[in-house]
Amino acid sequence: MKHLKLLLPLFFIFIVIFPVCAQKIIVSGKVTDTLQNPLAYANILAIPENDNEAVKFAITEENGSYKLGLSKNQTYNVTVSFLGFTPHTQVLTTTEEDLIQNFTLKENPNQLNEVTINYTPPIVIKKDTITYDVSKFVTGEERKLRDALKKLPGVEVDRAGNVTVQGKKVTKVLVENKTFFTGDSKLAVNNIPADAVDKVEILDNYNEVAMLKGLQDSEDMAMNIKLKEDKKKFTFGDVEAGAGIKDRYLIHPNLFYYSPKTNVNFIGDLNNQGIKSFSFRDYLEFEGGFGKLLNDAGSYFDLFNSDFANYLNNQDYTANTNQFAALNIRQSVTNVTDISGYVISSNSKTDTESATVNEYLNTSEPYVEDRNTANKFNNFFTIGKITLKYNPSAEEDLAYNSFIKVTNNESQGLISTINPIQNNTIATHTDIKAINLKQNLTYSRKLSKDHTLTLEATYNFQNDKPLTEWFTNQKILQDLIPLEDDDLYTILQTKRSRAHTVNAITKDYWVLNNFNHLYTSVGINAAFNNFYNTDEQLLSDGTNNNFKSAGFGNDFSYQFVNTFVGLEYKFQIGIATFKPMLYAHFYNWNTKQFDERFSNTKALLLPQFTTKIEFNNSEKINFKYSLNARFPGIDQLANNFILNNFNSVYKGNTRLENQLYHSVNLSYFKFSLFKNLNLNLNTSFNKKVTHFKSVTQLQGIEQFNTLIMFDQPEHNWNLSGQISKKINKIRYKLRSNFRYNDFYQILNDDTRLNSSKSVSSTISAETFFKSYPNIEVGYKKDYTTYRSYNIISNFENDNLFVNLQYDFNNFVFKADYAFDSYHNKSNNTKNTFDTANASLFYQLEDSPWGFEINATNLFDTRFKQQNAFNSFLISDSKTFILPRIVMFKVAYKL
Amino acid sequence: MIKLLILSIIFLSISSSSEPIDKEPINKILYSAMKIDDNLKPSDKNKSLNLIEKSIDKNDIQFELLFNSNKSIYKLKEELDTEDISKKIAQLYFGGIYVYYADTLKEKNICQAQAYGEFFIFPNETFKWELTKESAKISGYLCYKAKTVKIVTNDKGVFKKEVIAWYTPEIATNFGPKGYHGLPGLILELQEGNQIFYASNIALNTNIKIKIEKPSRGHEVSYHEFLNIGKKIGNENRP
Repeated sequence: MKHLKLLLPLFFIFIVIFPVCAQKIIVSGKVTDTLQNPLAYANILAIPENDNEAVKFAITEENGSYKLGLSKNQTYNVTVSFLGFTPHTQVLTTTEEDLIQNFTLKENPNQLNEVTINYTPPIVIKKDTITYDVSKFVTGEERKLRDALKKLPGVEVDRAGNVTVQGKKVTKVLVENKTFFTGDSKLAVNNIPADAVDKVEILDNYNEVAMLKGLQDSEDMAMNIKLKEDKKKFTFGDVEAGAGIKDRYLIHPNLFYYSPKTNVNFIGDLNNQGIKSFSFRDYLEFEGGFGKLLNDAGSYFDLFNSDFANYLNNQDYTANTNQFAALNIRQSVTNVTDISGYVISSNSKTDTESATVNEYLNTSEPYVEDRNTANKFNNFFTIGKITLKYNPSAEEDLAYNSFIKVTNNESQGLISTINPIQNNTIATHTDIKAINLKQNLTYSRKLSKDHTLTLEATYNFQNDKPLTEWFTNQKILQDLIPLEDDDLYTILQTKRSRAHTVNAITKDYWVLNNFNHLYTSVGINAAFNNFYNTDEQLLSDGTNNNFKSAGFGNDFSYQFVNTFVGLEYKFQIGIATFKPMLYAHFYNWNTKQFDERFSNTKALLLPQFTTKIEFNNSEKINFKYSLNARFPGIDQLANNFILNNFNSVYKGNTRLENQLYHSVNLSYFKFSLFKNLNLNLNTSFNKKVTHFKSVTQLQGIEQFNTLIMFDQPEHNWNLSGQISKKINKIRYKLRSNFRYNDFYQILNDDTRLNSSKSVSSTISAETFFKSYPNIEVGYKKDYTTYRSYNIISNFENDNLFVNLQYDFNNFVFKADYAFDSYHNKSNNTKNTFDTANASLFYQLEDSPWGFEINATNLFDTRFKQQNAFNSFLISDSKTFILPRIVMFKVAYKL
Repeated sequence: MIKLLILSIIFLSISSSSEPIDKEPINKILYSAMKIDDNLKPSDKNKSLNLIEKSIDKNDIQFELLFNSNKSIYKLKEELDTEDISKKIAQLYFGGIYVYYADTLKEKNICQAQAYGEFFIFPNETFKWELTKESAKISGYLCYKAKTVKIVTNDKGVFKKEVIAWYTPEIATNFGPKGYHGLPGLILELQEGNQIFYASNIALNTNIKIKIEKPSRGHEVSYHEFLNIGKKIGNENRP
């Protein structure tokens, strides 16, 4: 009877609950097969004809016997069943007496055939939802949804905008049954005007989604806001304005317009403090939000590395005036189609300045150049994008987007150089006009249960027109450019570059069975490029001295076609997944420089291999190996001379083929929210088999560079690890990184091997108090060693940082401090600098007004110092930064 | 060197998956998961920008119930990981982190959960079924309707979820999906709140050579303690 106790405690309770104990009789017996063998654990189910009687059931013992408690004088429909036997049904009528009833079951081998069931969904019954009629609870003075919610019984709203209903947290806020803008529930709660709200529905969606951060087991509730018929359109937002010491200003509006079919977001920014209020996160939101990362990880990383993202990150300037506007619109057109688009426009004036000491490491005697560079940039760009999404069914989806970028950058610069050979000042003027047009189509369709097909096609058009002028009163690059004598030297370079690129790839995903997949792909990459340039001297008498005669100037065209076929086989053994891949590429290219033509073809087989071992959901090892090829760009091929800088001339090589390198990566990852532990180890290794190598002729500070195919191996190795653990309310973190690389340098006909090694470690601690000030403290130590010409150069850097945040009453206080000690051990120069920023923000809860006072670069530090290493040169640069700024800001919530 | 690494990885994973076999034949039932959301009109479903909704609509999540006369185990169907994050979200939604194991001879009825980077084992609930006379034919099997309530108690209160199971006495077993044992027949359709699990493939008396083994890895806690751990972590990591 042990099994009964475990699975059917109710067997006994049923008998007890039903009141008329005296009306019960026992039906018992044995269940056997046709050979009289007892059937243990057979099921007996008795369904009463009388609706007032209960359904009963029993399970036979090891010896095949059973006991069923039924009501007297009732008729039951009895079914006896056992796996592999035909179920036996019969009608049983009880009397006043106990009854013995045996059953015999016949074997049924047909029952044991595999059955596949086609399912039709059940009729859906509307569940109860709690609906609040808001008008019954509000006074009419409430501003925002949060104020109206507070008036509803059982509903609480905290300062940040988190809502709880009868103690359960609301994790999803829908408006008119759809996600509201970014889907952040706080955005809806803090911004929807209270007078637009008609009803609030509480949907009790019990969900055991324990793993997702922020969602908790058993307390997921959704809230749906129903808007009043005439108030389905509204605007909301924030405006921030500030002024500061020494002519500083800031205006930053962030406005939203909502209607059930259209969502619009406008962000504007006018300031001269070097702040960019539009962040990478805003950009990601314009591009489709967090959903983009989940659905399309590759393009997320492209976004992250795009030049717009770099623009957003750029920090080092001495002055900056910024005018910025961004507009984002989402419109649902039909049930299955969505269009979204954005326009971002920016006009900024930036000043930068740097002072660099360049140490040239030659065989003769190393010598030093002092170079100062100051630039004024006037950058204008506008980018616009339209995306169309079409999702007709779960099997098919299509996305199309069109992107345009127009750029106009102008800059004026002044370079002064002091070196043993020459002291000179050169003025520069650059004007770049560029236009970039991209079209992208992705389509995916589930062809059958086992096959899914995807297609991706891109067309890219780029047209750049950079113009550069150099002004100096001394001859530069005397042995390389044929300058005619003049009082003032003006050198003009015009470039025009036009490129059409087409990429298309189609891939079939074939599920062979549960543990084996085969992916085949076919694709093409084609590029058609034109590059035109002239270098000439504009003489004071108005005539031109074109450097054509000395071999300068390009009229170059380049066509490149790559057709490829790929095969990937993914399979799983135990906890490990393996994916060997092979790609066969067929390359075809030709170049033309004036009348000189050159063409070539090549076939390459590029293998890749990845494996993943998943010990469990939170502990994994990943391994990847690939053989990679990279073909040259048009500027590496254009084989006439071209001026590169005031001190360098360059010439491409039309016979360049492809670079080839191996790369290997191994990483281990473990995280445990339960133990508050995060561990990450990573090592990667690259080996260059064939690559482009720069050949340099150096005279003083003047260089002539060209490229050749080089096949001596070069290595690159990286090892990094990070561990973080939270104990009580403090998180401790240790991060360490080791990097090594070696490379050849060909300088003045001499080939040498150089290497660089660096080690960096950071240790930090961060507090997570709810009511006390929070502080983060850390210390970082860097060691770098460069080895060239048997000269070893050592650099060391110490960095100490402290961040503080304290939320108290209605104030938020933030401050940060960083101390850097920089030591160039080879020439024994030391430099220390520290930077500090602080801000104090005040806002009464539920008030639309907020006030802030902040100071950046408190100590008025003038520059940052860092070092860099390339083939034959070590640079030690000071980059000048914005001076101390003190600002007072007012923010108003619309 | 790389070859050695690959070989040792293969060896490691094979050895960790080999298991001794049981003598009784194993029955395998595949359940597909579906979400019914009566709060959205059918025409609004495709418009949903909600990621979780989209992931669930797009992916076919399947669970396996393996059982013989005295043991059963229920978990996510094992298949090749497609690295599709939307599929992982949908798996989580339907309870992919839970493995239910029952052994009637050894009186074990437990659930193993993989959450927050750790494993936990807690006792599975025993359900009080209300057997009704309501019947329906599901794919040729005569099924009866049974009802019960799933109750979760923690310090925020008591939460009840309505559970409806359609079982067929024609397939005689007391084991069911998602730890819902104790009915006089196999559950062909289980509705727990907004989620439906329906049997999509029934294979009885198969040749599968797997041992139905009790999950042993995990901190032994009560269900209440498990929920509290989740709440504590949620509170700590709330922005």
